[in-house]
Amino acid sequence: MWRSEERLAFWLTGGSPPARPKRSTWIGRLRLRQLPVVINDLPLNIDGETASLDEALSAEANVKDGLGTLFETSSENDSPNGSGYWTSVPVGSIGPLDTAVVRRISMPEAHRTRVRQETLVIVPRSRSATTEIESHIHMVESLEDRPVRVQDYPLLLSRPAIHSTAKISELPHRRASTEVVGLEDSERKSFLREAEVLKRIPSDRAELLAVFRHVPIEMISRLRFLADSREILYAIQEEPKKTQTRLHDLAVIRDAGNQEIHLVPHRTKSRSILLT
Amino acid sequence: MQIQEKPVTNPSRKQVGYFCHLRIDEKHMGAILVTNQIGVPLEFKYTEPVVATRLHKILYGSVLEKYLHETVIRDRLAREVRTSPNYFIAPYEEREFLSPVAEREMMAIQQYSLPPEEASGPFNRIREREAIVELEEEKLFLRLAFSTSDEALQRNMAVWLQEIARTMDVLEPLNRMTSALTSLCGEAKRD
Repeated sequence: MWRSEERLAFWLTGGSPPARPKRSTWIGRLRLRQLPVVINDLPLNIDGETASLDEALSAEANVKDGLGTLFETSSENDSPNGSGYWTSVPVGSIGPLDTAVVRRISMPEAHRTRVRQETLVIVPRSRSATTEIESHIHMVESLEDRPVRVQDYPLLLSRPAIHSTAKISELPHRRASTEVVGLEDSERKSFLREAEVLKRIPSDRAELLAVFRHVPIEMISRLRFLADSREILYAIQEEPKKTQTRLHDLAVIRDAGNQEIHLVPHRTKSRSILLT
Repeated sequence: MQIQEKPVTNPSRKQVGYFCHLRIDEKHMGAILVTNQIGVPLEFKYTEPVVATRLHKILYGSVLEKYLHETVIRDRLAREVRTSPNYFIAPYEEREFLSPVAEREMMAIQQYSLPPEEASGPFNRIREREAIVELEEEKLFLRLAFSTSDEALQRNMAVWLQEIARTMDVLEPLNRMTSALTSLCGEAKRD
């Protein structure tokens, strides 16, 4: 605003051409030559009713002298009575109305000023730094013998240790029965006949529950029949000098008279084998 | 019963080799059991539990399972076998990792339900490395997966298995091995 006022004042007063302003040495910085002006403070009355923050407040300033003559040429912004200048200012704060001050500027001579504008070029300065990173290289010489460990964890899977134990010998042998319903009738009768001879169970009272093949009866130390699952559990007793044994088919027969269960090895359905 | 450690090389006597890989939680264990022809243990070797860390899982990726089964556990066990089983038997679930153990061929087996009318002989080859074998006296069928694709060798293995089945339950020792490994793994946990 004031720049145009200066220009207007210059043309109106018919002053001499202004001196070329000194070129600014700072890019994009505006430097104005200080003018010898006289500034007087004048009271300014502002009339207002109510206002709120951020609301545009119309204010009228009566210019008493000085540059007041300049406004006579800008009729668009003149007040209705032609003696004031109207503008809109946002209300930033509201306080008790008081005497406002208009600074009157009287310039003995007008000066032109020129704003020089240059493209601001920013040349970034790159920084370089050398960072030395130490790395530890693990050589896998022999994975199996020397497993590589990183933070106490082996990088590669190492060989597990091998152990031997006799625990497997302590576990019982668990055998399931063959399908009794699939037995041939002759075989079924032969088992019942064996029960009658060995256990004295009449064939009409005998009930064939299960049949187990190739049971090494001579080597069994403990044997148990599991009726629910129709399985036998048995343990083999240690006989290092034993070189051969016999394997028998074993039937489980229930006496319907007293509900007793009998284990009946078949005397003829057996075979002799050499032990390893 | 003493575990026999001396090499047994008498070929006339049948020894049955079993291999079992067990995974309990994140622990992998393996064992080899060699029995005589009635299932009495002659040799039993097992590995300490192997636990794959998160780093292992990342490094090995999809081959971790195969590496654990074959290289870390089975091959390691194979070098410790002192007896001379004719062949090795494994659970059918191990069929993807079959290969010779201690220079003995391996087969993975499981009981197989086959209607009698569909049975077409004691040896029925259904794939290049699989066959259905009938156990004569037991009147049941086994599904076999072989470590070899040689059909003649597969037939020999099937005949050997049928012969073994005449003196013992060929599946039963696998259950014992599983029980033993589970027990040993529990002991390792307590330690």
